[in-house]
Amino acid sequence: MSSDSYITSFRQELKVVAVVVVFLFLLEFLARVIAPHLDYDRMHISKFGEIVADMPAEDRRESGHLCVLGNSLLMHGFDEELFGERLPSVAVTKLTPVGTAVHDWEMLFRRYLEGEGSLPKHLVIGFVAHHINDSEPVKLRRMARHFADVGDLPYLWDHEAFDFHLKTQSVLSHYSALIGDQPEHRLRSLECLIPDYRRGLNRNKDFTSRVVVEESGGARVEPGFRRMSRFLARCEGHGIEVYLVPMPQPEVWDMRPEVGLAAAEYGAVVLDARRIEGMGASDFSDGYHLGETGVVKFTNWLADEFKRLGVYGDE
Amino acid sequence: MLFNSYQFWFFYLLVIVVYRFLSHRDQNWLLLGASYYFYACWDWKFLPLILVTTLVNFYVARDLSVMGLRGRRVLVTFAVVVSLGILAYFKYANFFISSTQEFLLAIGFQADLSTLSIILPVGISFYTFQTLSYTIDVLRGRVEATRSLRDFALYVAYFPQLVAGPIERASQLLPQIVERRRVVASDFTVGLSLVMTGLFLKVVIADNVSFIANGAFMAPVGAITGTDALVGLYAFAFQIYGDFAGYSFMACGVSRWLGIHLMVNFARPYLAKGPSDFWQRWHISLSSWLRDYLYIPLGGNRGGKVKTYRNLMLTMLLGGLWHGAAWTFVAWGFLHGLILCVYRALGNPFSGGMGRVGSFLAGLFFFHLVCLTWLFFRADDFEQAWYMLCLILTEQCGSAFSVYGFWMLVFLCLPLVVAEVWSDRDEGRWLHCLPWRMRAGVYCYIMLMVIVFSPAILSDFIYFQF
Repeated sequence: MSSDSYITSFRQELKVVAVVVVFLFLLEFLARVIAPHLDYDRMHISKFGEIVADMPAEDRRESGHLCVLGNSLLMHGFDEELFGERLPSVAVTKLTPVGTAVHDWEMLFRRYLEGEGSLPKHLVIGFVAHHINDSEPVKLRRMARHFADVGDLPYLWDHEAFDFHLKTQSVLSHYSALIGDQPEHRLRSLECLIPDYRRGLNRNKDFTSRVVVEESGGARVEPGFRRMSRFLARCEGHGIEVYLVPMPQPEVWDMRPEVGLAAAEYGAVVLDARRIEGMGASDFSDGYHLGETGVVKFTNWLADEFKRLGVYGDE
Repeated sequence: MLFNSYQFWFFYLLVIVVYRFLSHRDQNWLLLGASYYFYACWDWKFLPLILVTTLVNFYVARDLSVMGLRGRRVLVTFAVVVSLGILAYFKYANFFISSTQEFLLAIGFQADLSTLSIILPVGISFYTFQTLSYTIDVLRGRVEATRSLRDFALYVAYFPQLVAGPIERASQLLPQIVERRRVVASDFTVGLSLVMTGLFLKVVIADNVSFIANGAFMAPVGAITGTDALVGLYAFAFQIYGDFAGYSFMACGVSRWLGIHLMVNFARPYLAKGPSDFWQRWHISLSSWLRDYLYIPLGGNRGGKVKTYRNLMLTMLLGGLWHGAAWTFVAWGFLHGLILCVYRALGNPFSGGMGRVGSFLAGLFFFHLVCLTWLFFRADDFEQAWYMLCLILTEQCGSAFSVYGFWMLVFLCLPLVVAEVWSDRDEGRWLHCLPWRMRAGVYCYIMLMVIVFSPAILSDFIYFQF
């Protein structure tokens, strides 16, 4: 430095550090206060504890408790009240955090269902292609903060081959709302501060992702299904009957044969909802999620499938 | 092991805690071991290269004092050939092979020269230049050769500046390694301000704006407007500054906590009013190296105008090539050489007693000249650089991308610009000179930005590839 003509002492510098530390604690406090109110999804996530507490306990599993696990496809696509009307004796619990995939569901299952001893008798998992294969990137902060228990983090590190940086990040994210919810804070803040943020960002992503695809030579990497297999094996170990539901989309999508093979290996049933009779593009609200009419059609279809299979007896 | 990774800080914490309890001699052993470990974390297979460079230059420099003139020349030539030979092989072999092939093809010969499968060792350009400067300084009698291989090895491999500089001089760094170091409060204060500044530059500025720059430079032909390209170019200008200066500041900061002062490598370069001013502010350790070991030995400005221009062009062309083995880097160096020559010939177009306005315009004009050169530095090839330049000059039209990119730049970089203008108005006014309450306030702002606005992906430093 060209000038050291200033007065300083360790004590004074410690005061500076102390102010910064207090500031960080204040930020953390603020992040915890606003966490459940960030958006509808966070409100839903913050209620997982209550939802699971309301679930029938282990000894009541024979009553036919059904847990619906998925993401926004099922959040907007499945009506538990309608389903309840069709199958009145079934208690339905819906855990559908937005933007999640099979690795999130497994951690969520370990923390909220396995950990609390509230295992369902039946588990419905709704997805489209990329949600269940291993190429889906892990949203580490969110998963560590909301879906994984601290005791489950080593399990995550082992299976996802995390380096030291990611391991540390996951621990910090688990304990700190400021760090765990950081992507959401960043997004919300920039949306408020930067004009045209969302549109510009999406355009930017289009430009950069195009090159990533080109650099891979356009070669399709065969997706693995280890995450899904692990999850299915875990459910099978608990004696839970799993129903894999490939969700409807405006255009019928290709499901890889590995899904059916894994389902057969672990005793899961595939209920193929990709083609539901009478469902068309107008049943989708945004080209991806089911709209008002689509929800009714899908829920009725699922209830009919359960009846057809005799899952709940002669109901 | 990136400075902005948890792994580095865990490693550094271990080093500094043990360091405090050791004698000076053992501190140097610890730093040497830590430095080799730090380098091995990148790729342990390249450690022998550092060892060879170290041993050759250490023994050559040591024996220079007992040799006659002819023997000294032979020894120094040997050291230069070994050091530059390693650099040439690992960094430039494929460049020379492919360039030769293209040249032969252009003059009508069909040659099938296959390129080699070579990985560029991280930091090789930095430690090669640092080691060479020591041997040359010993030859010139400016530095006394050290008798301790341990101290010299530490001078070459000292971890805070090993992989991306600053390129230290033996006269500055070696005495600090050889002599006992004292722990003083000012080192803690200055170190903290440097680390904070570096973190802000790297994590908040470089990593965020790199995404915008990548978007503009990766967009398919026809997908962006000239305004988009311009915003992408500004973004790259701040990305490369934030990235490299951020690394340098953090290197200086962590070194300062060990009691070793590294040279300032960046001094508000975008506030430069002309090319000479710029090169006294940007990558100072490299530009001063090129001046002392290339430009001046070539004759500097002592042989008349034509020779001065020739020397400037040669120095800048080699400076460009130092940055990377590609013709776009050579073009970047050429453009900077040309700017230096033109400014030397014509003078600063905005100078001449215009006061603050003239000074501002000079800075603004020169900033855009620098941005123009960055276009060639960042572009994949000349075709892309030319295409984007044409777009910028002919097709100014806003879009969602440019609006978002522009305001992101304002949001992220404006505080930095304000701080640099404040600092530049009184040379030597740095963050650590602020009263403690204001300093704490600035650190709180930096921490807020680092935590809330850091992007999801941990990025490498651009200069690691040079």
